Amino acid sequence: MSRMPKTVLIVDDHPSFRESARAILEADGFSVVGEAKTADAAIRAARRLRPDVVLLDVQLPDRSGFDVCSTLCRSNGTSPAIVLVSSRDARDYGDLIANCGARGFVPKAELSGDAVSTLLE
Amino acid sequence: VTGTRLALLVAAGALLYGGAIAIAATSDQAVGGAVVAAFAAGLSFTATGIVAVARRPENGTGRLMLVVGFVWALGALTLTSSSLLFTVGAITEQLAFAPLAQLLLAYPTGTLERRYERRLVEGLWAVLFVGPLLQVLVDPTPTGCTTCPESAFVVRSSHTAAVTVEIGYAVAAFALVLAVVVELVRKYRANGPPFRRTVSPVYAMFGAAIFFLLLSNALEAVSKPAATTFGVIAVVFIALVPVAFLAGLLRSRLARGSVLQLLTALETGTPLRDALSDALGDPSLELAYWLGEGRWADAEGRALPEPAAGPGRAVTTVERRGEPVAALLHESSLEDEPTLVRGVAAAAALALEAERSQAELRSQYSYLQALVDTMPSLLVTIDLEGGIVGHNGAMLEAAGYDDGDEVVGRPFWDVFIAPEERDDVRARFARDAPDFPLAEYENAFTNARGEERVVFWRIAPVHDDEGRVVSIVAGGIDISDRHRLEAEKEREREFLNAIANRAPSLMCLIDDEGLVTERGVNIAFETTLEWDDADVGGRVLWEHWVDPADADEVRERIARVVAGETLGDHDNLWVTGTGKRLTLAWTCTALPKLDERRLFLIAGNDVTERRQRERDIGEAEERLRAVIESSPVAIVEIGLDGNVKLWNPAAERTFGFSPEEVLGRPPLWVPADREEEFRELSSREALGDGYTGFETVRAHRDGRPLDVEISAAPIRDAGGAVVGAMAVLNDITDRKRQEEALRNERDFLLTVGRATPSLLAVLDANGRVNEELGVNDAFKDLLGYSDELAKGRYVWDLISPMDEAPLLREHVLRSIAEESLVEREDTWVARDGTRLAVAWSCRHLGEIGGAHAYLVCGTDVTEHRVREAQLQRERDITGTLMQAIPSLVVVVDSEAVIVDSGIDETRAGVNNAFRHTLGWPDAAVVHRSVLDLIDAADGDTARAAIASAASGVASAEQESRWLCADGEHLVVAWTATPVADVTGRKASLVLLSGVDVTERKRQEEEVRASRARIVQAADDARRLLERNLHDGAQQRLVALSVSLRLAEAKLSSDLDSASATLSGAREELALALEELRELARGIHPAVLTDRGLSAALEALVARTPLPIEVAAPEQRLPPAVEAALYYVVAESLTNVVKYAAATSAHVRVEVAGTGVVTVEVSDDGIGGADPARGSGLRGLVDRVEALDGRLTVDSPAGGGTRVRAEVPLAAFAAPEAAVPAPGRE
Repeated sequence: MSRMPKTVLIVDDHPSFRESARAILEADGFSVVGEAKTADAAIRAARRLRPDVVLLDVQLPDRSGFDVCSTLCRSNGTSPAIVLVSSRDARDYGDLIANCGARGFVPKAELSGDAVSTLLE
Repeated sequence: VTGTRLALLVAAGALLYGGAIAIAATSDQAVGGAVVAAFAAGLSFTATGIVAVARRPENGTGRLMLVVGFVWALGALTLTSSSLLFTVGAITEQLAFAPLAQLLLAYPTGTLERRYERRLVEGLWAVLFVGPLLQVLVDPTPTGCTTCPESAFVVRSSHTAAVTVEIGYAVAAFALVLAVVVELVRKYRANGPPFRRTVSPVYAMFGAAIFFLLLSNALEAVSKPAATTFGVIAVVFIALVPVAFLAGLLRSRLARGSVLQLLTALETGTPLRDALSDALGDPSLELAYWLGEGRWADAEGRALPEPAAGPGRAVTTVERRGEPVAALLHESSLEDEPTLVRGVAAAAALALEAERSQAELRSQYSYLQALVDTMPSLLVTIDLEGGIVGHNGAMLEAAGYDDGDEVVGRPFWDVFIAPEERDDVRARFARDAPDFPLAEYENAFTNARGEERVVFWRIAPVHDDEGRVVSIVAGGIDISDRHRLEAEKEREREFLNAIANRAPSLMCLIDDEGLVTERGVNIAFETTLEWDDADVGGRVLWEHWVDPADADEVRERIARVVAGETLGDHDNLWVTGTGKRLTLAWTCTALPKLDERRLFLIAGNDVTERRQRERDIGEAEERLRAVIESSPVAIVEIGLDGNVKLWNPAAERTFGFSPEEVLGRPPLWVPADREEEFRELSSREALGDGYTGFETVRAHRDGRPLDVEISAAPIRDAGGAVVGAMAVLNDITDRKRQEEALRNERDFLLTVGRATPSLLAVLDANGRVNEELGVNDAFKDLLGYSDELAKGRYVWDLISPMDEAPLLREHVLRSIAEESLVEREDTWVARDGTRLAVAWSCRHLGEIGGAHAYLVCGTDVTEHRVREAQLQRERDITGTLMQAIPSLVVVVDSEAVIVDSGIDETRAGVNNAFRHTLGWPDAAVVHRSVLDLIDAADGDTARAAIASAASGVASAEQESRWLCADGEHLVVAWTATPVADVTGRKASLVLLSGVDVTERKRQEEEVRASRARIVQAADDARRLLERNLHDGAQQRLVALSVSLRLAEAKLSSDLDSASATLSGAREELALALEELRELARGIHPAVLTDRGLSAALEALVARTPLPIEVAAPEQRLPPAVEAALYYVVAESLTNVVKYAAATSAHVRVEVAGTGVVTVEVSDDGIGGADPARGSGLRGLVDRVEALDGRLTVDSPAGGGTRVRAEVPLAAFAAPEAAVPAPGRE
C-alpha cells in the first residue's frame, strides 16, 4: 500500500484486550503507536502522540470513555478520529455514542481493521 | 556790725564815762580809789563789750558786756550834789549786777539756755531795781553817805522802815546771788573740760570779786578803811572779769591758723574735740560721727540727732574719700572763716575717721548692750566655778532682783535653783566641767520675790582663741506664764469636761469628717446610746449611732454645718449599742479652732418618749376627731353659755342644719314644746350629771319632728370643772318605724313559713317543738307529723332513727346553748319509716312570748343526694378509667397548663400511664405548661392543637417528641380533645391523650434499614456477578473472538501462525468455559461469602491434589477483594497442578498495617511461566487491576513460580455506613 499506515492509540483497562486489539489492527495495516489504561493517561497520550485514530473503551476505571471522547473533541487543532469499543452492545448506551463526537462504535468481539476503517471513511 | 554802729557805741561809752568822770571831778564828795576802780571796771566792760560786739557780733556776750558797762556808769550819779540825780544814782548804783549775772550765766554762748536761768536773771533785775527804789522812799541816806544829798523821793523817813527794807533787800539780793553762784557751779560741773577751761578765768575773777566784796561788807562795821580797800580790790577783780570774757571769747583768734598746733596737740594726745576746739577757737564745738544710714553718734557711741544748724550754730561736714566722716557743730561765726574750718577739718579728718570707727564700735556695743538688756530672753554668763559674771535685765527680773550687783559673783544655783535641787545641779555642773557641752533643761524655782518661775535654759560654752572654755552662757526663756496658762487651760478643760459629763444631754465631739474624737463623748452619750467610752474614738458618727435610714440625712446636715451653715434642732432615729432605736433631737455646732483642728459638737436629747407621747396624743385626738366625724349618730357639744360648739356631719345629716347655721348659737333643733325639758337636761349636764338613752323629740330643719334618743356627758377641764356637755343624739325615727314594720313582717313570715317547701320547726330552749308555732305544712307533709303530733315533743325523738337521736340532740342543744348556727346533713325518718336525707340548720330565732325560740329549718335533699352519688360514681369511673387506661392522658387548661383537681391523685391532670411512661412526679408537671414537655421542634403544632381543642375543635392525631424525667425523649402520638371541666370551675379544659409509639417507630425504622440492606446486598451481588462475567468469561470470550478473527486472517497466509493462534483460542475457550462453570456453580463458593477468604482457601486447598500449606488471617475483607484474591489463588493453583510439576505449594495472605492485602502463591516446580502467554494469568491481572491492585509473576526456569497480588483496601469504604443506626432499645 502506498498510503502511510494510520496511527492508532488503544485505550482499555484490560491488558488482554489491548494485546488482542494491537495484534488484529496491526495485522490489518494499522500502526499502533501507544496504549493507555485510564482516561487521564489516554488524554495525555493522545495529546503527545497525535494518533489518527483512538480506539477508546467506553468503560474505564477512572472516567467513562464518553468523557474522554468529549475532552479530545473539544481540544484545539485536529482531533483524532475516535472509535468507541465495548464488550457491551451499542444499544446499551442509547444516543450517548451519537452525541459524544466519536466516529462510531465497534463491539469488542467484532473488532477488526476493516470495521475501524469503515467508520473512518 | 557796721562801723557806724561801732562808732555810735564808742561815742555813747565815751559820753557816759566822760560825764561820769566830769561828775566825779566836780563832786563835793570825797572821791576815793573805790570810785576810780569802779570807773575802771565800767570802762573795762564798755571797752571789751565794744571789741566783742565788733569781733563776734553774733555772740550776745559782747552786748551784755556793753549793757553792764553802760548801766555801771549810772552809778556816778551818786556823786552829784543834785538830790534828784543822787537819788536816781542811788537807785541804779547796783543795777549793773543784773546784766553781769546774765553775762556769767550765758557765757560763753551769750544766750541763756535754761528757763530757770532766765527767771533768775529777771528776778535779779527786779530785786536790784525795786530794793533801792524802796530805800530811797524811806531812807534819806540810802547809800549811807552822810555828805551826800538826801533822797529826793523820801515819802516818809523812817529808820525802822529803812532798816527793814535794807534787810529785806539784802536777803533777797543775797539769795539770788547765791542761786546764781549755785547755778554756775552746776554748769561747771555739768560740762566737760573744754567748757571749764573756757569759763574758769571768768569764774575765778568773778569769784574773787565776790569774795572781796563780801569781805568788804563784812569788815565795814569793824574798819571802814579796810572795807573800802577790799571793796576796791573787789571792783578791780570785777574790772578784770570782762578781760577774762574777752580772752575766752577771742581765744580762737589768738590760735587762728595754727593747724600745726592742732596736729601737735593731736600728737601729744590731746582729745580730738578739745584739740579742734582749740584750733577753731570755739569752746562750744560739738562733734557728731557719721555711722552711715542717717545715723549719727557722739564719741561715746551714743546716738545723736542729725546735726543741724540753729541759732548761732553752724554745721561743717567733714568728708573723707567722698564719705561723710563727722560733722562739726560750731558757732556760726566760724562760717566767716571757711578756710580755717576746712583746714582744721582736713587736718583732723584722719583722726576723726579713727574716732568715728570707735564711735561706731561703741555704738554697736551699746546697741548690743541695749539689745541684751531689752530682750525678753534671760541671759547669764557664768564663770567656770558657776559664779554669775554677767546678766541682762530679763534675767534680773526673772531672778527677782533689782540690782545686778546683788547677783554678780554668786553661784547661779543660789539664784536660780530651788534649795533642794542645788546639790544635784552643782554635781551636774562639776560633771560637765571642763567642756560644758551644750545642754538644755527646764527648771522651776522660787525667786527672790517669792514668785514661782519656770525657766527653760539652753547652755553653751564660750571658747577663747585657743579653744578653751572660758565661760558659760546660759540663755533662758521664762515659761512660767505658759505653764500657768497650760495649767489653767487644763483646769478649764477639766471643768468643761465635768460640765459636759454632768449634762443630761448627750454630747459628742466630731471632726469635719464625722469621726468622733478620742474620748470625745460624755457620760450621757455613753449611757443613752449604751456604748463603752473606750472605743468611740475614730468611729464615724452616722455609721455607728444613727439608724441606716437616717444616716444620709445626718451626714448631710453635719456637712452643711461643716460648710458654715447654722442649723437648729432636728429629729433623727439613732441606734444604741444594743440596737435600740431612739429619736434624738440633736444639733451640730462648729467649735472654735483647737490645736488647728476643726471640731464640731453634737448635742442631743433623747426625745423618743416625748415624740411618742406627742404622736400618741396627736393620734388620740385624730382618732377622736375621726370617730366624731365618722360617727353615724349626731354628736353635739354645747358650752356652758348654751351655744353649740361642735356639730358633726351626722348631726347635719340628721337635723339638716349646716355647721355655719348652728355653731356659736343656741340649739335650733329643740321644738317649742320641748324647751322646758331641754332646760332641765341642760341644768343636769351643768351639774356634771350624765344620762343615757333619754328618748324625746327634736325637730328637723324642715320642721318635721324626729324621734331621738339622747345620751349626754359633761365635759370637764383639767381642773375638773364642767365646761360644757357633749350629747349623742340617735335618730330613732327609723327604728321605731322598723319595729312597726317588723311586727308586720313577722306575720308575713309566719304565713310564708307555712307555705314554704322547707321543713320548719320552732323549738323552745329545751329542744321541744314550740307549743305556739309548731311545725309548718312541709314538715307535716314530708315527715307525717302535724302540729298536734309534733308540739311539745323533742324534735330528735320525732325524726331521728333510733341510734342517731342522741347525735341530733347534741347538735340541736349545742346550737341552743351557744345561740350559734348549726348546719348539718343527716338522715331523718318520717313517721311512716321513710328515710330522707335532710340538710338542716338550727338557729336562734328570737323571743316569742318572752321565751327564746329556735328554728330548725330543713331541706329534703334525698333526690339530690341520689343524683350526686350517681355523678360521683360516674366521676369515679371516669377517674379510674383515666388512670387505668394504657394511653397517656394529660388534662390542661386553655393555656396548656396541666391542671390539678386538688382532690387526690386520681383527679390530677395526668394519669398513671403518663407517670410511668414519662417518669414525671405530679409535683413536677402540675401547673406547668405541657408545652414544656414537648420538644421545641414540635412546639408550634402542639400549641396549635391545644388551642384548637380549647376553642372546641378536637385536633387530628399528631406525633411529637415528649420529654421524659430522665432527659430522654419519647415519640407520642396524641390528640387534643375539648372536655367539660368536671369541677365546673373553668370554662374549658383540654384532654390530651396519646400513645407512646417510640418502639413502633424504632421497629419501622429497623425494617426500613433491613430492607435497604437487602436491596444493597442484592445490588452488590448483581454488581459482583456482572463484574465477574465482564472481567472473567466475557473478556475471555472477547479475546477468543479476536483470536479466531486473527487466525482466520492468517489461514491463507501463515498456517503455522494460524494454527498456534487457534491452539491459544482453544485454551482460552476452555478457561472461559471453566469460569462459566464456576459461575454456574454459584460463582463464589458459599464458604467465601459466609466465612471469608481463609475458610474458602482451606476448602480450595482441600480439593487440590497436592500438599499445600495455607497461612491466612481470619479477618474479613471487602467482598470484591476476597473474591479477586480467591480467584488469584484458585487460578494459580490450577496452573501449579497443570504445568509446574511441583511437589508442594504455599499460599500466604497478609493484611499489612498500611491497608494493603497481599496474597502470594509459590511452588517448587519447574518455573518458566510467562504471564504474557497464558490467558489465565491475564485474566487475574484484569481482576486485580480492576481493584487498583498489582499482580506480579516471578517464575525463573527451574526456580519455581511465585504469583503475588497486592490490593489496597483504602478504596473500600465500610459498607455499614449505609445502614441506619439502630433505634432505642
